[in-house]
Amino acid sequence: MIRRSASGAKLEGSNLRSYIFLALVLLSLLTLLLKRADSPSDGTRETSTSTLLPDFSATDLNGKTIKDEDFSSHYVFVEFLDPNDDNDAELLRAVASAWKTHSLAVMGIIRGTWTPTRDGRVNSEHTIIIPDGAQQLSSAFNVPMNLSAFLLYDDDGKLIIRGNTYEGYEKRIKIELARALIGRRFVVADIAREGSRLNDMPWLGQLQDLMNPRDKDYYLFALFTSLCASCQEGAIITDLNNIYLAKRPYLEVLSIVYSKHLGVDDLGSLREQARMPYPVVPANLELSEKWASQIELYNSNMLNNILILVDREGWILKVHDATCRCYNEFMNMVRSMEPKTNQR
Amino acid sequence: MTKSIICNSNLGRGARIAVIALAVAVCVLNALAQLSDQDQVRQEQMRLYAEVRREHPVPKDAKKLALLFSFPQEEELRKDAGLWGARYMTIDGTGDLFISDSRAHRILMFDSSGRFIRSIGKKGQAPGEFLFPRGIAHDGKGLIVNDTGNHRLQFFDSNGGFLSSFAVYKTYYEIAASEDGKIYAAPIRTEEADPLVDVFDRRGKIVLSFGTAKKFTKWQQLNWIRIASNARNVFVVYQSLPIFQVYSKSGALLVEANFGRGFMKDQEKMNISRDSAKAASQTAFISIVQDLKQYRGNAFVLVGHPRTEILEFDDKGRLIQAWWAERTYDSIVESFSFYSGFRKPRFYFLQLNPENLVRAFEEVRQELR
Repeated sequence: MIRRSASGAKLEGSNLRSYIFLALVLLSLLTLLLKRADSPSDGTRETSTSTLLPDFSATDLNGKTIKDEDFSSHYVFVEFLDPNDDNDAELLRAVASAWKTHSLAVMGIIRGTWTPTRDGRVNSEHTIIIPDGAQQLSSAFNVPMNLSAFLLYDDDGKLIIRGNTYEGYEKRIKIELARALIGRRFVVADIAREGSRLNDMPWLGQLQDLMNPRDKDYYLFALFTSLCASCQEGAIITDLNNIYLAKRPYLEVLSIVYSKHLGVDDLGSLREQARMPYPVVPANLELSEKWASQIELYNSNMLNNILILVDREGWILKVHDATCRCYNEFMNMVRSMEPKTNQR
Repeated sequence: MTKSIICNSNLGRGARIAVIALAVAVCVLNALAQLSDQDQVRQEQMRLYAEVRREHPVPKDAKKLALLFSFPQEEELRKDAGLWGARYMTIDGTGDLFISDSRAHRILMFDSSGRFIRSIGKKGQAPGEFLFPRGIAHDGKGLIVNDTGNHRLQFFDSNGGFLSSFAVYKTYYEIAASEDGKIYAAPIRTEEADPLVDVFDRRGKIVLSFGTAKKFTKWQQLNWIRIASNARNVFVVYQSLPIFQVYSKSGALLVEANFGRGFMKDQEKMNISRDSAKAASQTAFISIVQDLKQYRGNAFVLVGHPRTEILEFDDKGRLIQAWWAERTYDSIVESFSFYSGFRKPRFYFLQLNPENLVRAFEEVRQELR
């Protein structure tokens, strides 16, 4: 008290320091907050999203109030979409139609103004449409206003994946939904299992046929869904070409392509363009059917680039697939194979 | 600190609080001002762009192009003829334009006055369908589409009827066609020694590969090219270098010319300096050339900065004439077509930014700049 009255209107050193300190703290805090608010909303930076299904309330097309608690114990697929963009609309339709019998809520939040005559095509009985909802909900889901994005939450409301709708249904959403809703995860052993024999898996009968007359010790099969120089298979094909051209008399290289969109002419043309000196044949009916059953749940990238090393008796020695991260190990094994001279 | 100095004065308790409140208010206002930074960046870009244009005036003999109209207009949009991610276009002999919209997985056809004719194809893998179509060419008989996502080239008649297709192993963006039935395609090169151009016959056989890439550390990025062909020659331009080449049909390099001047020279220097840069921020190269087409036996090169320019070269590499059109600082013109069926030559510029649309330009008599 004495000090305050004695000093009159003067600010003493300790008080002054406190005020300066306070002002600096406030300044830093504001700068920090505004820096966050200033982040661009054009999707050029990675989208920052909440990791839990946020609290929200919105009105759907039928005037019904939709709240986050309506989705408890449901998986939830949320898409911020421009319904006039075919990719956006198709993604919502694909998710809703593929998983309509499962415990998945599909919610489309319309960016821009909802036009029933134009945008009605994204609507279905399995989809909750929030018209003109992006303005209201983009901050709750932390999705930039002008970005077409999707978010997939599990039945505990935890975010599983998010991304730009541009990546489409096949890349990750289909696989994650198969894993989440029906517990299916791609394992290459469903197609070819190490330690088994080819005749244990009837869909691999074509491989046995191609091995005839079984005059080699080992057979290296490459199963492709596409042939593309600048993709992973391009590198594999280059390696296979080199392995073949090294002319190991005990090793045969063969390639099978399973694609319903590549005809025999296409394969011949691709083989020539890729300079593949070994046989390239289309998958037979059994293998194609096996592939078709797998493609229902997984994508063609996962089913591509499957390499199977088999010995003369049809035992599967080693299998590589796009998910195993064992390519170098596989190729090192192939390159280090030696003739079974003692068996000849 | 500036604000804290304001606080350092002889004041009563109430006044002190007022000063602090004022300081906080100043901080708030100051910080709020940062919100308009994006506007400031935009203004700065516009200022720099205006400066570049002042420093690099239009060449004296270049002809000015004036905007006639743009499309698709509202009427076309109602017919679902909007462009979503269109980067490639071509034109046939009657002036019909074909635009490859990669993002919408279709080809849109407009007449020379911008009226929507039809949409060709949809997303899919079946014959006549597309997955991210890119390069597109018209060989005088029909349309050839580089269906990139499906790794094939597809052939259509001029009305969009599907004819045939063949699969391709390499990934191609740009394609060109000539009336002899050959298709010229620039691949994404996976090996440094790979040629620049593959030539296909109509059945998918590579009949010739040619072109030696320039030696760079970043040998892929600095060797992106655009191609065009006519009955006698194949033209090549590098996107990040102002280099124009003429090849014979057998793949022999006949002419190489550096057409860089003014701003293009600055961009070329910057791109070459970035070849050895290791920082991730310096690995992007500036596109000097946006597109290349051939008309009336000559090569037409589209340059994007600081104005939209078309440079016409003959097969000796000589600059025959140039046209230029105004552009805004944020516009990106990805492709173009030229049509001489009207009284005055007409250019169609396919603009990606700020709006994806086609703008038709016509040559005007223009003396003053």
